[in-house]
Amino acid sequence: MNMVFCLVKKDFLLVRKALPLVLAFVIVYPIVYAVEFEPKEAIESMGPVIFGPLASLCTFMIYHNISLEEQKHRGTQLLAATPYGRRKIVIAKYLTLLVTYIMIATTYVAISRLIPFEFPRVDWRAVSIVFLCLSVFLGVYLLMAFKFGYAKVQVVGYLLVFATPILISRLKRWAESGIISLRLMESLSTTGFGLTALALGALIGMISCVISIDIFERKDL
Amino acid sequence: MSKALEVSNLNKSLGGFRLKNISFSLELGCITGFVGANGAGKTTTIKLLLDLLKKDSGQIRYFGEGSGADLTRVKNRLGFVLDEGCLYDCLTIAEMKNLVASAYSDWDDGEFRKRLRQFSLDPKQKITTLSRGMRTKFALSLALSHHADLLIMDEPTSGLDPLVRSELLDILLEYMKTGDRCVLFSTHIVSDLERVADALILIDQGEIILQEDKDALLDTHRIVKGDKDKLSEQTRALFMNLRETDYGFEGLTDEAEAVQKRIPDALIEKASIEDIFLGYTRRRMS
Repeated sequence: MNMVFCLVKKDFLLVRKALPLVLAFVIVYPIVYAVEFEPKEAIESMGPVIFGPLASLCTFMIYHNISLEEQKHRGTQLLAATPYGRRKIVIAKYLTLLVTYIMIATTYVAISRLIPFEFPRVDWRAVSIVFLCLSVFLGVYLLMAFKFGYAKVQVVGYLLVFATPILISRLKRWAESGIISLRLMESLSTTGFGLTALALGALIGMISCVISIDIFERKDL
Repeated sequence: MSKALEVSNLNKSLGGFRLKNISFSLELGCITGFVGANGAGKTTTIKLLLDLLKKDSGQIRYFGEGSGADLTRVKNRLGFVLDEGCLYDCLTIAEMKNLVASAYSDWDDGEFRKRLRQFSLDPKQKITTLSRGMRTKFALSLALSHHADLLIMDEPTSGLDPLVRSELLDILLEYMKTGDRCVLFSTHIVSDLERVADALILIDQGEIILQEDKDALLDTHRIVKGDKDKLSEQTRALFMNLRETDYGFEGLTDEAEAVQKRIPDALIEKASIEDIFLGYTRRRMS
């Protein structure tokens, strides 16, 4: 476990410059949104609409930066030749993303508690649902990255980055016009659904990790 | 002498390149030079040895252990320096060391600090600020600080100035002093091997064409120079390769006595490793 911890630490060292910027974005973006948004009384229910794409984008940006550094220095080759082995390298990558998401979610929830005015707040159930969505997306994305190499799949990532602002404004418009029922989202945010989403997200992450290990163990580096 | 590494019938296809039935072994107590032109298959072979590439077929046995040997245990006894460096530029020397050290069960921090002092490396220095020579020295420090029994190096002296190259070769000789260690040293700068290698493996176009004790190789091969008109069908057959000009010929032979008998006035000189390497490689090309 100590070895995996060292590999996770290495990932965060690789993005030590980008990480504070990303966390600052997680703080600043919803504040700006809350200040700008009208009508103010509707802001509180917009939490999942803001948090979902924002957390997904920021988690992905961290993963993207780590992958670019790995690609540039080919450090994975060095690590795979040491007793770390390939299995631990894969496990560490999944754990890094989990820790990243926890950091982002904690930052967002903490800031939403501290802000005294109307704010797009989320509770742990919404965090769980976003975790499930992100597990599905990154579960597939990481599989592809381990199979084909990050260079080949990063174009999908760029699409996500460009699509996020459009997605946020579209979700906002749908929510305002009633296409997405915020009440429905609220009704989904039950404890049972939150726990199920959390468990399902973890399960998907683990399944993806096991398949990635199998792919990476057989891959030429 | 016991064997540190035995490779038999190793095959690997990679794009348009093929490594064909590679077989060789490394004795403990020896520095073995792995020589070949660019693209001959040195890096592919080394990547297979380090489990970075997956073999199509064949066997790699470390320290006499069978193919089912515990890979982690084997890797704990291996030190390596990769051609591309593969170091994280944005980390400091100390951070990179901490990362690598955590992987090895027998990491020796005292030994690492000794190497850093020897190479005048500052632990707080970022890897990106290191020169090519300093990077190689740092990579070597990482490779030597867990008491590895087998050191595998892929072109460690490539791109280095003669002074740094000489320093590195001294370190290899010092590393070998305990006697129960082994080095595989790939290079296309064959002059480095004259000084340190005990044995040579020559690879060309994905095939091993020679594995021999260095001194035996130097003893048996000669460069012959003489008049071109002394060459006949029979004498030509005694040479591994021949270079003919308007003024005469120069060729490599491993049958110096026979050449002496047939061309008594030929000039026969000792061959260097470079002559032998070029001779074998050109013979295959022709």
